[in-house]
Amino acid sequence: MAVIQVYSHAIQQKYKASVCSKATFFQLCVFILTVVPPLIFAYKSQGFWLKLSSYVEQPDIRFKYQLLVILDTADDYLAWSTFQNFNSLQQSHIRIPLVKSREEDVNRDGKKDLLHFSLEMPVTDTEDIFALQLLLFFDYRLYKFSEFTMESMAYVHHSAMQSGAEYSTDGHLILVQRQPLAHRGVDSRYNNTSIDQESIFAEAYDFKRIFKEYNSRNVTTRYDADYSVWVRGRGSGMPFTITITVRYPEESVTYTPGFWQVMKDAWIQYLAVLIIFVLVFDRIKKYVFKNQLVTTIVDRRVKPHDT
Amino acid sequence: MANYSTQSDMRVTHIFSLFSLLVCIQLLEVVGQSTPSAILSENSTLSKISSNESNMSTPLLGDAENNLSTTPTTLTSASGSGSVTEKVDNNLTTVKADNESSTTQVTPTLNTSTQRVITPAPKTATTTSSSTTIMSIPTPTPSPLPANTDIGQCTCDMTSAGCDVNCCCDTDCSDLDRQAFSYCTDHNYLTTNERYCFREGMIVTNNSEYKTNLTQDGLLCIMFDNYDERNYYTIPDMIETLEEFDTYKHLYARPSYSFSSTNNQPEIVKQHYQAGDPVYTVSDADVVGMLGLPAPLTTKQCDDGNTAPYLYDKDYECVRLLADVAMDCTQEVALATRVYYRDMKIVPNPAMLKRSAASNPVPAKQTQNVTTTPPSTTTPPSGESASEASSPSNSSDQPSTETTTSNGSSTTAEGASPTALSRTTLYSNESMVAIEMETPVMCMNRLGVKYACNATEEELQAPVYNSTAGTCSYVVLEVTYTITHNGTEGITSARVAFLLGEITSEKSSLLQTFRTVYRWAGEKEEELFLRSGNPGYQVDQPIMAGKLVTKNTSSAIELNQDRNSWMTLLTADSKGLCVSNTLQRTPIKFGVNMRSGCLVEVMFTNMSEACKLIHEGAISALAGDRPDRVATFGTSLVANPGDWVTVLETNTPPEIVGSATTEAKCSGVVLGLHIEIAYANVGSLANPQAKVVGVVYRYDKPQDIAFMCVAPYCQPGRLRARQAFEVKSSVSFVDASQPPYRAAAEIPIIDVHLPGDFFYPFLTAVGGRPRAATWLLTVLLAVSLARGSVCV
Repeated sequence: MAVIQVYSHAIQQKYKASVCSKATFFQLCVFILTVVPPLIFAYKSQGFWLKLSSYVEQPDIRFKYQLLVILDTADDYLAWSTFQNFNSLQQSHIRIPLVKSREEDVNRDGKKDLLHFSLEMPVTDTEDIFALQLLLFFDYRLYKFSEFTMESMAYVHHSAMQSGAEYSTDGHLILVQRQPLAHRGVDSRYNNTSIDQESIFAEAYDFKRIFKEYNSRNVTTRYDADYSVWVRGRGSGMPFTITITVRYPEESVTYTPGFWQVMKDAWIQYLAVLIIFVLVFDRIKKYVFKNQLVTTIVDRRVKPHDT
Repeated sequence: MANYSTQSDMRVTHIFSLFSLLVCIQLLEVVGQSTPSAILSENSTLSKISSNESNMSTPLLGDAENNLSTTPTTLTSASGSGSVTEKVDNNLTTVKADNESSTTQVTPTLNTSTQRVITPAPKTATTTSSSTTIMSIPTPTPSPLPANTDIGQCTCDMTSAGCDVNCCCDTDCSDLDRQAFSYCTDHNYLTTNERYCFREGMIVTNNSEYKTNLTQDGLLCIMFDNYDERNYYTIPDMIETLEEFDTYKHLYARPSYSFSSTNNQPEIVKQHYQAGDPVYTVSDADVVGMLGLPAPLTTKQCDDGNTAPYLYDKDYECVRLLADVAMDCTQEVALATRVYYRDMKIVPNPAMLKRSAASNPVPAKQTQNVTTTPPSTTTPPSGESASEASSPSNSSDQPSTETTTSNGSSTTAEGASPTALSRTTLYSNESMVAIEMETPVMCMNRLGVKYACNATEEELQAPVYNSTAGTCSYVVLEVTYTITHNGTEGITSARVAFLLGEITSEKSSLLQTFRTVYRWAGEKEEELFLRSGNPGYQVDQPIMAGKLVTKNTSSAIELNQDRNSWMTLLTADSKGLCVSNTLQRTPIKFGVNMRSGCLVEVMFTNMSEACKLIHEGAISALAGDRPDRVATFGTSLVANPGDWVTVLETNTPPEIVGSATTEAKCSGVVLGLHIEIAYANVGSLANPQAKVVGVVYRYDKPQDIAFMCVAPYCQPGRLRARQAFEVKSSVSFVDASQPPYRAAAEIPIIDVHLPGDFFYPFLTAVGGRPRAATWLLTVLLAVSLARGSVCV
């Protein structure tokens, strides 16, 4: 008659020894050898503590409707800004352009995707434009991890050999990060204006100073105007036109992970190595105790292995 | 020297017993075959040789023996071995002379043997297609290439019969020459495979002065390679037919410079015009062309090569640079009206061209884009590309344009084609549509006022230069083609309207506008109305605004005919000053936020009396012809004022400025206007329609303007100094769309419960005393716990 195994359970064998014995010492050593080397291995093989991570988010960018423009003619310049005090300082160089702007949310997700900006500067027929400098100001926000807010800037500049009728460019407003953001909290370190609007002093509007201050930040934006076109041949009576498309791309933002993310990541690495050590040392212990390589009192009672 | 090894089995002797790890990649069976082993044993004293080099010599010889039966085998092999022995000597001397030499080989090439082998040998009677024709003369066969051999043994030897500098393998170099070398450039090619332990084909022995470079430092590397084919290119066949070449090209070619067909004229195959097609014209010389519409290309200058697409209304502004007004006035053809409509007719249907081409094949081939460029005898000195497209025949034809057309065609007919008789029929065909000039022709004076020209017919055809005044009159400023069509039946009529102007000698550039307007036949121009949206406003379309007019009991909206004058924003003139001229205003377009302004200049001395003027000027500049109703939709009807929202106003300035002001100060002047337009998207989320829900004209609070007393302006001598005040105006759009209300149903309460008496024996206690069942449960729990602890 055929016999089948219908049930099985392990039998627990106990080995006993006094506290000050070879067996206890052996067991202690094995425990340390099981637990510590995986930690060392996981640590030395790099990347044990997750210090930097990144995520992707489309920033919430708004054009602040603040700008400053300087156009260079052959021997003079024209300037205008939305800062009243700057305009007062310029006096004879001031020329008020027609500024049009439209922010478009292409995919209607509530975040603006690009800005159409155009500026028509009225110029007389004798004023030939050779160079331009333009500052646009944006409000830049990130929400996903830390609530990050800053005032950022796009600097568009071009200078040409021939006088132009139109300058046109299409580019992205790129996040420049020199420091990871925090993983939570409100971050408004850089939510300050680069230009002191209240100042009536000329140095407040000095580009050198503005750029120096802006560049000393750890998080800024940069406008890449790589694809720009300088159109020549302005007709009489035509204004000088600047057309800019600023795209707000999805950005990969680096951040410092929080405590629990670091712990979770480290634990996964540690555990993976620990399992191997546990298995190996289990075998060793079994061999040592079974063969009485260290003296122990063997509890002969055989009991079903209850947990 | 000479370890000869075969092409398929490369043996590398080595002394580094440390490299006990050999990886033999055996992808092919080892072909153990050895060539002259006797030589090998004889010359085994030599320290090292690149087996590449030996590879080269032997297979060449072998191949020569095998393939070229006609070539004297003995001679080749003899010379080959001769060179080999020479090599030995060379090498040995080099070893002694130059201990620093670190290159892998200093082997002289096999110049003699190689050349002999490569010289085309008479072809044996293998049958090719050409062999039938040239039977007697043996066709030259290409010298065969040995398979799986490195044939470029001494690539640095570029000078035949001359010593190349730093080319140690050059046989033309003597040993003394070599001592002058700074290093050896031989064998600077890359290894084929990074996994080889040593550079392929190198034999390293114990007392070599050559350095051995480890090419990779992994655990394992390849010592023997039994599958040699993979390190050599396969030898391609010669291409003899075009088809073969194309097969190769199809298989291997990558994109490269290509030439599209130079004839960029689309072939006329259509039966009728479709939207976007060029509109064909035929000139009086019967040359087929296309209706041109100059447009700016890379600069703002007019590019005459642009064509007008059928059915698309186009509007281009471009610049003509004039170097010398006096000369260009009469000679620059682009300034004259005649070139835009005279002596050409529009082809109503491309099918007609096909028919004429069938009857007479010559003219169709002569298709040119002539109408875009007026045939010009002179090229403008500014270097415009205007004359590029003009054909020689046309320029010769040019002086006769004032005369009759038959004269013009007859002059060209002489040189062009003998079928002149039939060609005249195309232009004189009744169905060809002549372009009529609209009368009266409009003129614009220097102030921008338009009026009907008071000019003779001749003056209207070409500009007239007035030498005393230095002006050029009747210059084309605007060209508007209005083409009436009837769908598939083609063009039924064409008109051209001109706006002429006057340029003065100091003006070096002229702004011209070219546009096409297409009308369906039967369409009434006065009934056409261009909407700003249907129904919701579309971005960049003007905001529809008018004034409410009440007549008797009914009221309606009075709307300006010009859609660009509906709602406007002030702009500055070219000097940045305010102008109350309405022409200078910019239309407010939906969705586009705008900011504009202009300057009011005042002098310190006349400040107080100018106050009133400033104020009035500012008000008129700001608001312009202010509308009081704005259409909610692009389709709102003027007859229904309910569909129009009232324009609200705040801080409305008084008509006249208040009291007299103190010196150098104006009080209560309004210098700003902010127009705010609220709109909301309505309708489907997937297809939102913008509806204007409110408009506010928000004036700045009246303010005092005064001279800012920064030093220079307050100096006594500079009281006449001017100071400018900005009058500013802006438009902003407020998206007041109500987000869709997402009402989710409440989470349903799932009414799942056990029957009331499910735990009956445990839950019912009488008189606060647990029943037996409860006791039982407690005892059971206790026992199981106790047992568990014992076990442990």
